[in-house]
Parts: sequence; C-alpha cells; structure tokens
Amino acid sequence: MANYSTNEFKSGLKIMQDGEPCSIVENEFVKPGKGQAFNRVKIKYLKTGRVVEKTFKSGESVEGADVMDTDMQYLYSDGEFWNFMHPETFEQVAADEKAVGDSAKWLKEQDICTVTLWNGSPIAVVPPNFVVLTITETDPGVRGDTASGGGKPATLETGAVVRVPLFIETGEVIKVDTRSGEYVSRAKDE
Amino acid sequence: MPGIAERLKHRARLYQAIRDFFQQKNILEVETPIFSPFANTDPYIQSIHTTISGKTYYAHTSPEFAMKRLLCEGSGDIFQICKVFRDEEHGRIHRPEFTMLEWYCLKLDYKQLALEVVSLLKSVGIEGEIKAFTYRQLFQHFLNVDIFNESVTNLRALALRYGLNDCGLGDDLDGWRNYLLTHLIEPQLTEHAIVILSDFPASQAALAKLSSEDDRIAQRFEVYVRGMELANGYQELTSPVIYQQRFERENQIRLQRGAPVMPIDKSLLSALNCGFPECAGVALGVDRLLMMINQKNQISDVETLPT
Repeated sequence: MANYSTNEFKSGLKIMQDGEPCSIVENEFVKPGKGQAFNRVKIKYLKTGRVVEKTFKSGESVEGADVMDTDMQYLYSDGEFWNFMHPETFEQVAADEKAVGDSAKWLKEQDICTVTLWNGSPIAVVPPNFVVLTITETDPGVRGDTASGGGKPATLETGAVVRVPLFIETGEVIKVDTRSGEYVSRAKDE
Repeated sequence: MPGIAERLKHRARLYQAIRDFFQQKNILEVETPIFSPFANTDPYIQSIHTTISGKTYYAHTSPEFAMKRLLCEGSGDIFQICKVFRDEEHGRIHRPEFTMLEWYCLKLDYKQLALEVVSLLKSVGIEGEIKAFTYRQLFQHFLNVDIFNESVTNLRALALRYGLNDCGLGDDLDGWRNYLLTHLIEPQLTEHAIVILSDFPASQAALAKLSSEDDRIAQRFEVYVRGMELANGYQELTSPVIYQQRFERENQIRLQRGAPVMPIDKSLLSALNCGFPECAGVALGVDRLLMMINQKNQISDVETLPT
C-alpha cells in the first residue's frame, strides 16, 4: 500500500495508525508565522469507531490502508457470521460480530448494505439508511389515534425494538430510519 | 457563482483603503519582479520554481529581498501589494498563492511599526481592545512556563500533559515552542480583538535584529486578529555579514532536514554592501484581512475564484 504525505491528507483518506486501519475525519493545516508547520487531524479507528485528535509534523509520510467501502447484499446469518455477497461478482464475505456490531439488529436478508473491507476482510457493516421491517410483537393498537404524541415499543422481525405510534398493529410493515432508530411511516405498497 | 460580485467589490474596496492609508503617509507604492534566480532560504518556506529559457527561476515567497534592494537605492518608505507563492501550504487559511502587503518604514522602529499595523487595521474597520505580550509573557500567561529557559524535555512533558501527542519533534526546541503556541495558545487568542506579540527567541529571529540589551531576544513582532496571525514584522537586519550568516545557517538546517539548499540572493547581498538604512518592515496577509473584515471563516470565502 502506498504512503501518503501530510500534503495529501484530506477527509476520507484511509491510513494505518498503531497497526489499525483508520479514516481521516478532519484535517487542519496549522503553521506559525515562522517555523515548523503541522497537520492537526481527527482520525477514526475503523474497527472500533473511536475518534481521536492527533498532530503530525507537516511533510511526514504515513502508511496508507487498503480499505474499501463496498455495497453488498446481506444473505444470511449462521449464528456466528453474517454473510454478504457482492451483487455483481457474487463474491461472498463473512463478517463476525465485531464487524457487524449494532448493525445486526437492522439486517434483513437481501438488503444492500455498505461493507467496509480492509485487505479484503469485512471490518464494519452499515445498514441502508431506511429499512422496511415487519412488526412481530406490539401491544394492541388504539384505532383512530393518529395524533397523540405517545407511543409504544414494537419488536421487529430482526429483533430491533423501536417506538411506534399507538395505532400500529402487530403484523404491520413499517419503515425505520436506521441512523436514528426511529419509526418513519407505515410501509407503502411500492 | 454566488456572491462573486460582492467578493470582487470587497477586495477592490480594501485595496483602495490600503492605498489611501499609504498615500496619506506619503509612502510610495512599488512593484518588483516575481521571478528571481535566487530564493528564500527559510527552511520552513518552500519556493515554487520554474524554468525560463532553460534556466531555473524561483517565484518570490515575499517581495522582501527585492524591496530591500530598493531601500539600498534610497527609495525611502515603500509598500507593495502582490501575489506571493509558497509550495506545500494549503488549508483553511493557507494557499500556495496568496496576496501579501509588505511595507518598510525608515522613521519607525519595530514596536512603532506594530502600532502602525494597528492603525491600518483601524482604517479598514478592524478595531477593539489591543493586548500586547512579549513572547515570554505570552507563554507565562497562558501556560505558566518560562519559555526562554525550559528544556525540550519539559516542553514535551507539558504538551503531553495537555493531551497532545508527541509528533516526533525530537530535540527541536523551536519546534516544541511552535507546537505549544499553535495548539494550546493560539486557540485562546480568539477571544482578543487584536494581539501584538513581540520579542521572539533569538533562534526564531529570521531576518530581525537581536536586541542590543539582551541577545536572547529578536526584535520581531506578529499581529493577531481574533486569534489569527495576520502580520509578521522585524527591526530589519542591516549588516550584510549577518544576512549572509543567517542565510547560510538556514541552508544548513535545510541540509539537516533533507530539504533542498536554496541559492542565496547575491543581488541583495551586494546591494546591502552599499548601505542599508535602519528601518522596520512588515508583511501582512491580505486574504486573511479580507476574511476578518467580512467575518468569514476560511480563505476560500474571499478568493476571487476559489481553488
């Protein structure tokens, strides 16, 4: 993998730090009136999601990380691994629990997810921004109540629990925003 | 492009105000060549070079050397607004090509010139409380250290205590000082309208004279507006021998850092040999000044055609 000079730093660049693949979140060039310049960067460790601030002397080089975000179709889970397939090459990868993390509760078979591959192996999975899932269990609905601000928990087919309006029934299909974990609407027939 | 008419007007209005300011003081506007076979030796400023008719030329990183030759010729007080060029500088408030205002006054010393910078700022609408610190006072005030007497070991420990990482500065004392200044002090200067910082360590003299009372101190100043460094000025060196020594020392540092050695400006040295007047000089970043006047947060907001 190529080395990058601090001159090439920009947000989104993937570099190695402490043996871990990282992504640059923010890069600021800092220079005193006279003297050594610095690059003050925010770095995200891709495996853990931890973001740290770090300064480099300008002009230094760091090792690049072979990291790619790939759109892949979620196939199935065998209990230990979550299996994804590249929709064009049909190449399959198996992501472990560390890579899938909290995303597991949104994964529905055949949905297209963003899988981050480091040296070809999955290290992170991001579900689609919106998923359409069936409610497997919720308290009985209150008909006609479409306005009240209240709500109730509903368990979805993937195991996720979201707050839904009182009028929603078990068996209904709803749209959820995975970034906020919030109910959006009843799923329309499309 | 949205706002371009505004942007052009703001810039033109500022240039006019600057020219009015100098006209009132009877300071002459000059123009000097951009390209020279000689270059700036400053180890931390990289010149951009090109080939003209088969020979290497360097674009000026400031009009300093050429303007100093004019001073040797008896020009008297002069100013210039021009584009200058520096490789490897790009960021929120840095561009490899930017506009500089540079001027020299024979009647003023460096401290008076710093106040003259403040009058110029006032004439273009930047006012407010002025805080003056010496370099030593600044570090005492914000970090409670005696910056002229602290070792590399102690400055490194201080940086780590404030949560900074060791970015590999090794035994580079001025590197550590700059690290603390840019990372821990400058962010706190944003609270102040105008800060005049003066009397830098002799090791950061660049082309400023050392104090005759205390040779640990360089007669150099910077002016900050709301935490952003806007101007850098000197009590100018006059001795050609010392110029040559500084240039050679800077080239030595370049060698140690694996940076290319730059051809020393012989035209300047020979002009200085004929006599250079006692004077103070300053360079001011015009794009940053435009940012401040128009309350913008990045240089691309004031560039004519953002890059």
